[in-house]
Amino acid sequence: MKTFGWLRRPGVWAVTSALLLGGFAFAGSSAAETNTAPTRQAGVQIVRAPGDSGGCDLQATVAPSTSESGLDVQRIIARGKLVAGIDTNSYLWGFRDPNSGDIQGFDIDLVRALATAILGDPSKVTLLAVPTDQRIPALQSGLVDVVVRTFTHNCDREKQVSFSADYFQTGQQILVPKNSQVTGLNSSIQGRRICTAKGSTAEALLQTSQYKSQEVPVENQLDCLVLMQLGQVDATITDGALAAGLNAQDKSLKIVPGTLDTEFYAVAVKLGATDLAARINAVLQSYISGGDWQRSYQKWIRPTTGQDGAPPTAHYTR
Amino acid sequence: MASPATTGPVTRQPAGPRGDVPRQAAPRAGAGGTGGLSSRLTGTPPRRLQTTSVLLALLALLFGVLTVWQVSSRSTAADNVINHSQPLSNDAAKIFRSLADADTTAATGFLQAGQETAAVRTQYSDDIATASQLLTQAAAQSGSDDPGQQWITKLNAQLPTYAGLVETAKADDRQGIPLGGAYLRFASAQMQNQMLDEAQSLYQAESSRLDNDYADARSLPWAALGLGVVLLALLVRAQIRLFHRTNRVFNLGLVFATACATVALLWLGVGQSISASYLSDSDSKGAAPLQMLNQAEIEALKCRAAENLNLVARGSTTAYETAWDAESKKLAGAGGYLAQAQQMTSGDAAAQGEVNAAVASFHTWQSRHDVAHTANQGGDYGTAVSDTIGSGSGTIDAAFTSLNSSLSAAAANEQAQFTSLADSARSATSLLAPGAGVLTVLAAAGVVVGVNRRVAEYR
Repeated sequence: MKTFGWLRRPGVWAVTSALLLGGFAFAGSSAAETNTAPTRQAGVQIVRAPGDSGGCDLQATVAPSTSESGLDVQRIIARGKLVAGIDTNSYLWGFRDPNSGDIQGFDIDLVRALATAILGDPSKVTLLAVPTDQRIPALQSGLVDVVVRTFTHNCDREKQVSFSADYFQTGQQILVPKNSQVTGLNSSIQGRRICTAKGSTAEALLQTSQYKSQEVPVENQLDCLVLMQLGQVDATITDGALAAGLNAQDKSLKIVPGTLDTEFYAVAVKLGATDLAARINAVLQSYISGGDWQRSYQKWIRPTTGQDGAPPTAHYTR
Repeated sequence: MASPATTGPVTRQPAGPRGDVPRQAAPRAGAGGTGGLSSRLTGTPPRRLQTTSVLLALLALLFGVLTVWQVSSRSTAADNVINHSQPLSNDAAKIFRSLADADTTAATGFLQAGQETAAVRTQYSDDIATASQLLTQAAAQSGSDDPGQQWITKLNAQLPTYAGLVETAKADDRQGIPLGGAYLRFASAQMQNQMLDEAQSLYQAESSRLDNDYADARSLPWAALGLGVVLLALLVRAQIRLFHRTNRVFNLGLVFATACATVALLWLGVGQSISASYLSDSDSKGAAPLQMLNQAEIEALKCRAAENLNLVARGSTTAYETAWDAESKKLAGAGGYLAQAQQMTSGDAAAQGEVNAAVASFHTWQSRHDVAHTANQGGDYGTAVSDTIGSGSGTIDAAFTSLNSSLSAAAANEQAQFTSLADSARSATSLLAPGAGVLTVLAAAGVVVGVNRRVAEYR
């Protein structure tokens, strides 16, 4: 995981674009550049994930509020439980320890923080495992209050669900065996068997690439790791956060430096549940300023990536 | 098997009449001085008689040879049903079953995680060992041109790979990383999409061989029966002619020959019909319901695997819940395997009782499945797992086990039915081939002796 300070610097986007176009190895990300002020440079272009129509500000969200009078927050308080849609198969993010049965990870820490803030108790949570393609239906049907599941905030999804402030920045990356000659989405990957999850951003990205060769689509990005270990694929494209999770499960792999696009994770709520989104934004604000975000990052992500991280900035709309 | 029985009479028996009679006839024909084969054979009444006797004796022997050949080829087919194709078909079902059970048990062991019980571990390794041993056995029993051989070869190669994937899954799981679940799903996909399909093809190949052997064993020996009727008609006609010519009512030799041929023909017709009817019963009351019960057992295992894998997947896909719906419909839906087994065992109270018990167990299973599913949907994974793989009388495992044991009891009953009916079929024709052989030789001898006595009266 790269630090996020460098992303806010002028000229860095040119580098990122160059990565997309030329795909050379990006080796210069420095872990020391975390000191940048949280003000974001005007006019910075986000390299949009393919498959998203764009046209929206991905960092825009409702202003934080600790008010609990809204209908959606009241429903949670009345129930006494926060129902969260999560993943139990994403190592480091949301996964079940097979031995203890506990569900844990970076996303789960955030869910616990939400429950603590809204209900005063981190255990007042029902964790529901939702498959990737069920995340939006689960919110729409009211099965879950929130989805905290490495859920990428994009413009198309904004038409179906509402998002909180972004809590993590990532981008598509390439995961390969350590001795691989692949240096990026360039001629070095041509002719290789590339694994992506069905319906993922990575799959869309590969479709539009001139370097796409033998794609191997699977149900779940974790299946890519199985195939890679069995020698049935040569590379996996997934977002950097999940790639880190895969890498943590197999140290004989490496993540090719450089991201292919920019993506943000956010908490999703039912479309129009702005009271809940505002409440979550307030939680996120104190979660970040109180150092909990950093502690969770240090616990889950830093040991694998070896890189410092900082939360993305929010653009509050009111 | 059939060849020694058929070649014996052909080479030995005809030598007598063919060697003796014409040799007696030929010098006399030469002494008479008349030329031409037909006049030599039919020129004078005694010659005509001699020729008729030779032809009748040959026909009797031909009837014998045909009977021995057709009967023994049928009993060979019946032997094949009992000793070869039915056991092979049953073994193929066992291979199928142990593979499906291994997959189900591997998922159970995986869900038990660190607490995998010795019973589950033993069951899994027994399944793998049984499948491997039966595959070796099947490979040895079926020839290289056997249609099942290709599936056996493939399964033999894939079994160790599958077992390796399951071990990797367990090792990863012990490390506490989610990859283990993905490995187990991968292993299971290999099993469900490849190996079980091959096992099914093997089973179908062996079953169609069983059907062929059944058809061979059951078919009536029309050629022998037809020739027997012709022989009898000619024997009666010869006696009527002889009566007109000599005014003697009975020629003892010909009467004896007619009696022998009649007994041989009746024995052949009745014996084969009884045997065919027993064989038919051994199929409809034994082998066929047994096949259906095997299918039901395998389908139940597939349902159980889908249920377990749904928990292994930990909500990463809805595919297994869909699979449960489809597989359980095949097992217990209208016209499903259980319904068909109920229909097929309707004449057998013991087996029917077991199948009914299996249906009841399935209903219990289904309702417990729904409870566990609801718990899982509500985020109570722990309860869903303990309801599904936990032991105790109120669990899914208990319902599944009782369903399985009912089906096994019904299958054992059908296997016993098959064996006893098929044995009856075999014993109905056990003495037929040698008996018919002796009778037709006697008939031939009777013809020759009887007619030669009349010929002697011309001298």
